[in-house]
Amino acid sequence: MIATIIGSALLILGAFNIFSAAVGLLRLPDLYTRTSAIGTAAGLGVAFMILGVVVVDFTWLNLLKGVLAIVAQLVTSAVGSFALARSGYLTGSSPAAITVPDELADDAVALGGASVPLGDTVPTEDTAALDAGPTDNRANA
Amino acid sequence: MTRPWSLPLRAVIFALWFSWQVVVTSLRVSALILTPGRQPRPGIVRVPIRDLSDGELTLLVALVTITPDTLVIAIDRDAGIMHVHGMFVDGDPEAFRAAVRGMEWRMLRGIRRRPPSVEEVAS
Repeated sequence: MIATIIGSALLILGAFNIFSAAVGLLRLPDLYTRTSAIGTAAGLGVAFMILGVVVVDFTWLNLLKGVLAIVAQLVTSAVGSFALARSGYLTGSSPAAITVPDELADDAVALGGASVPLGDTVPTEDTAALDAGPTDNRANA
Repeated sequence: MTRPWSLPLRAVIFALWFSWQVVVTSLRVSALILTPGRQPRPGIVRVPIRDLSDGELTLLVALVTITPDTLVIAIDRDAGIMHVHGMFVDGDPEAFRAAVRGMEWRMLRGIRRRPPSVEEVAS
């Protein structure tokens, strides 16, 4: 009885966490903040749900399986997030203008300064990231 | 606490601390998303990477990316830097850099038999 209540609460918490990540996908301004929102679902959301199932149907073997599942989920989601962010940057998905500071764009401009007009027009952060990010950053790979 | 035989204890402490960090930062990100009208103040910050082995660097990048508020975008081992995106940089890159390096130091204490001391890290 108590196990059912606690397990159900964990399942609902996990579902709510995944829901908030979905809201974040719609609400947040760029690829990188959205990836962060997904991170909450992949971390807490899935972990709560797995723990909830383990509590409802508790055996020590299930607990072991649950912990392994959570660890595997976290590791794979980390690799996925990194690959997503990196490929996003290399293909020119620039961070939102509210990203201050953007030292990656600064470094890209410093490396490939010639391609950026440095005359009387000062490039905005957005265009600098777009111009210099994809091409010059590939050198860092 | 930094003798070789204390490694299992240090590893457990780090695992617990890191799990707690995942919970706290997840709740922070969720709270930000669910607060109407609130926008994040993200940033991309250059973080120096110390002399880490391949495995240690991989683990650090995974750990930084697992915590939902931080995300590694680029790594340049030759230059010894990586670029980390943070949801809560709030225009203060120094504090953010210190936080990432703090996690690196805690990680090394949790996995190395002879971790660096605080003084070595500060230099």
